[in-house]
Amino acid sequence: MKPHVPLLIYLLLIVVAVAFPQYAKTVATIAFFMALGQAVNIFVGLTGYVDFGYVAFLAMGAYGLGVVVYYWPQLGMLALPLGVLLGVAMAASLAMAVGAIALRLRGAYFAIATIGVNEGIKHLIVGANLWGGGAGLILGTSMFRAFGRDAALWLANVGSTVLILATGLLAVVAMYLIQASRAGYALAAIRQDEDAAKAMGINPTKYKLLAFTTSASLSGLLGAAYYPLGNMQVFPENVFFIEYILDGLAVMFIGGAGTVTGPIIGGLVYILARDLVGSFLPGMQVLAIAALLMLIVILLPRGVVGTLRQHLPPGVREWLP
Amino acid sequence: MKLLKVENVVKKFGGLRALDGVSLELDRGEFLAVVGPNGSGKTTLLNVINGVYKPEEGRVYFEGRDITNLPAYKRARLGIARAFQVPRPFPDLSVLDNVVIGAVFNGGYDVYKAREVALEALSYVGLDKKKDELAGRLTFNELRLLELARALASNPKLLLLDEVMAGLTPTEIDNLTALIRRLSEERGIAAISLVEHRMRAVARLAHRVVVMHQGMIIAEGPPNVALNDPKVVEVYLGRPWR
Repeated sequence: MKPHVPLLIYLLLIVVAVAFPQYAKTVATIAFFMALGQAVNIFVGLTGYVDFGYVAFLAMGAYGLGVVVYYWPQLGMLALPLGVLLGVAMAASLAMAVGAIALRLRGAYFAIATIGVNEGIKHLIVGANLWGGGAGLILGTSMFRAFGRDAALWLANVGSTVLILATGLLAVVAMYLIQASRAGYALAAIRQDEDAAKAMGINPTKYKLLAFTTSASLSGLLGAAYYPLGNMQVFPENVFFIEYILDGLAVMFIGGAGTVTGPIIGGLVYILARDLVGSFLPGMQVLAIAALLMLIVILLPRGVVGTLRQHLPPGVREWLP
Repeated sequence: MKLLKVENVVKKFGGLRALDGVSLELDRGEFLAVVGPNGSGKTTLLNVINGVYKPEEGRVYFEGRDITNLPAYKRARLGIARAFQVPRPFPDLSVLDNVVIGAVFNGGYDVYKAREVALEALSYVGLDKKKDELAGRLTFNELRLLELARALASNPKLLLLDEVMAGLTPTEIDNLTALIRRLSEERGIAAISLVEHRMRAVARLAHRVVVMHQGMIIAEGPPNVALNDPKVVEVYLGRPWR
């Protein structure tokens, strides 16, 4: 597999966001769905498992950065890397804790076991009045104090977009590293026949946990980039919005589960479809997207990129991972 | 030192003594056929050797080491590979990737070396032309060869073959048997092959034949001697009419 094409697309979008700040927010909207699909893909696409509690990882990232900026603005610029790091670490720890228990379950049982994670953590934050509780964290003042006014505004506009795109880019790198190593073979085997994989000497829980934690860490990074940095606020109602996992799955399936370039195409198609439906049938987006998703799963079960790959000669296929 | 030594093994299922004091020795590179009617204890013996079952009595030694209490996956890493009666490949992976997985996880090779080993194993069994095909598209005979290549790529010292001939045509059986014999001669890989049907075709090429009946070994020796033993004839054909 050659990761050049997807990597170049993300790099190009980063250049666009930095060079034309007036378009940064538009790029960010599209990039968010690409990166979300990309992160979801590393777990769902590679293992074949579905996690409905997945949004909690976005939220962990959002709260990690939000809490650091809100409570310690005196850290100055240092608050940004520290906050992002804390968010990613929280997402990864949650994934390891949930995964170590729930990933011993198979397929649908795992999906059911994870449903509670998202709602549970949301109600913990709201109910215990943690980190601003139900009122959330409004970060404008703290960000001005921490980064200075101009830098804060640039970060919220361009910086957040670059970080979202960097998430997508890192996800491509992670996919490449996984697929080039023994983990890639192990995951492919587990996805197809977990019992046969065990007979080949593969420890399924170990490799599922690896994919799960990697995927969750990237979602944490995305959450930090999008909500606290990009929107200057963290509201429990926004960051625990369960529809994001459906968005992520839709992007992944449209592009092609398990492919590397898929989520880029998927994100683009998905946002276009949503915008089109939004302008002609306002309020019907979710319904229309559900229909689109059904059509894709029935007519193009391998997604756009997956189907293209089937028909391309091997020499070209390598370039469209 | 013998490669494998099975000593007075007893395995009971409830009141049934599936193995009733079985002893067996195997040299490096030896091709042994275990013959016996259905229910004679052949598969149980195989399962005691590869660690699926733990015997109630007796010991199993591999290269002089007592492995009676070792779990199956650790025995696999010592070099005991098993090919299943019903092949179970990963259908949506290429034939090559299927074999690479065997080389990486049971053989302990790194990914690059594993590809080399896998390609070699595939050409050895004659599946190299199909390496990029999805495993799900292979014929039953080719799946058997894939299963064998997979076992081969895990760098085994002992191959356990559970009725790998079942469901194959006579020509395919002859080819596969010749392949196993070649493995033992060229590579020094020992093999224990369970045989129920088409006994003579398989046993002819084995170095030695063991005949089992009701959990016991009733005859042992070179193929023509063991298969013509009066006790064996009786088990298979019944008492001669007089």
